[in-house]
Amino acid sequence: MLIDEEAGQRIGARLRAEVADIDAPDDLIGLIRGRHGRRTAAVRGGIAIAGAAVLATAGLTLAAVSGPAAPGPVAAGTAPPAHGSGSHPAGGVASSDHSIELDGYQVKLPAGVPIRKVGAGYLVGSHATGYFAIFLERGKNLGPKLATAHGRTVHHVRVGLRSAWWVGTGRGGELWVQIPGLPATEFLVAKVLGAGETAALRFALGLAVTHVPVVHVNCSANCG
Amino acid sequence: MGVREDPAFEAFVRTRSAALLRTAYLLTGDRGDAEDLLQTALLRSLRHWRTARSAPEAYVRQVLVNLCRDNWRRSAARPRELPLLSGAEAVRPVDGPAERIGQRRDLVSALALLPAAQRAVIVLRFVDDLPVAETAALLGIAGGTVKSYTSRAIATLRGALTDHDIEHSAAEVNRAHR
Repeated sequence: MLIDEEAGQRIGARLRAEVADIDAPDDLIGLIRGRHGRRTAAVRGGIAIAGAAVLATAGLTLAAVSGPAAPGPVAAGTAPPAHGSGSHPAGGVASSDHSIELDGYQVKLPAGVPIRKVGAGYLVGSHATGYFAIFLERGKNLGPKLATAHGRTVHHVRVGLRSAWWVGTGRGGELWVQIPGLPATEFLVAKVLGAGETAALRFALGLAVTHVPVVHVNCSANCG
Repeated sequence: MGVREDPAFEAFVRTRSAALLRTAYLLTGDRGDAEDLLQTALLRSLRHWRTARSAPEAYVRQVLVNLCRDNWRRSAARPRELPLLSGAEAVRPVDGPAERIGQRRDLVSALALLPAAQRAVIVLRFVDDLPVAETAALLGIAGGTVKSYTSRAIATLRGALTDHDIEHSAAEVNRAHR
């Protein structure tokens, strides 16, 4: 056991040395207080649908709507709720799909994909350029088959991002939208590609869509 | 004065966040996840600052470990994320110094291959220098389990790295501290 202790101490010293260059972001306190403040404001205001909003850097714009898919920005509240099976051929998207717009790039979610929460968050740091890969479970395919995990087929769609998003360090921004009263059962994970993999975007989906609110958030601080 | 303006919290974050981030990084193996976890842990400590302020580091560390354990459980049921591009197509990382020195993080890489519980034991015992009892309490396991995990983890790490590597790194650390 003593040998284990000695070896452990040496391993610990080596690990500390290997991560000695890792430092917390300079504006960590501001980021935490920003999150704390937004949460407090959301609770006090009784905001059920739109939760927290923008944290920092870069112009993250996300709009989630239900209705006919169309290229380019989609105006708030212009489309009726969509219904459907939620299953489409790879790369194909029905006209009644939902669409999510990420800074000018439109992602189409198949009709019937229930949305309870729509969230976007990213960690900035590693990539001058990148793609978001949005993974959908249970055959709600938006693109070519990518992989299988635990017997489930995972599909993806790629969304190009502006390179400026990924320059810098620290937490980028986040946006969460939640439709109350719907149980969350599925999730959708998006991750920026690249060796560092420090950027991430996460979506969570729920069971049944009756209405998807439009959320349009522009970065209000530290953009660029 | 509300908790948001509490200078003690601010001072704690300033002085201890780097060490906690390193712990989170070693627990998760991912810098982005580590920053995310640390922010969440600090946010929770801020919300419960009256409770946390007597021993903030222990409080935040406990939250970090709990969040990590939640993540481990969730990731087991989640589809594995795969890079869409590989080789020359892959997006080239342009990180700063941290990315450039990634090549010499041999032991961190070896640590990432350990089962999550063993990894946590090594990090808490030998990086954070916590005693067996405290490590056991943090992870919600018995002290004997901590010892057996330690033994297994060290055996694995020894397999991944030669003794020479470990001795050499210890000597480097000693020199750096002189």
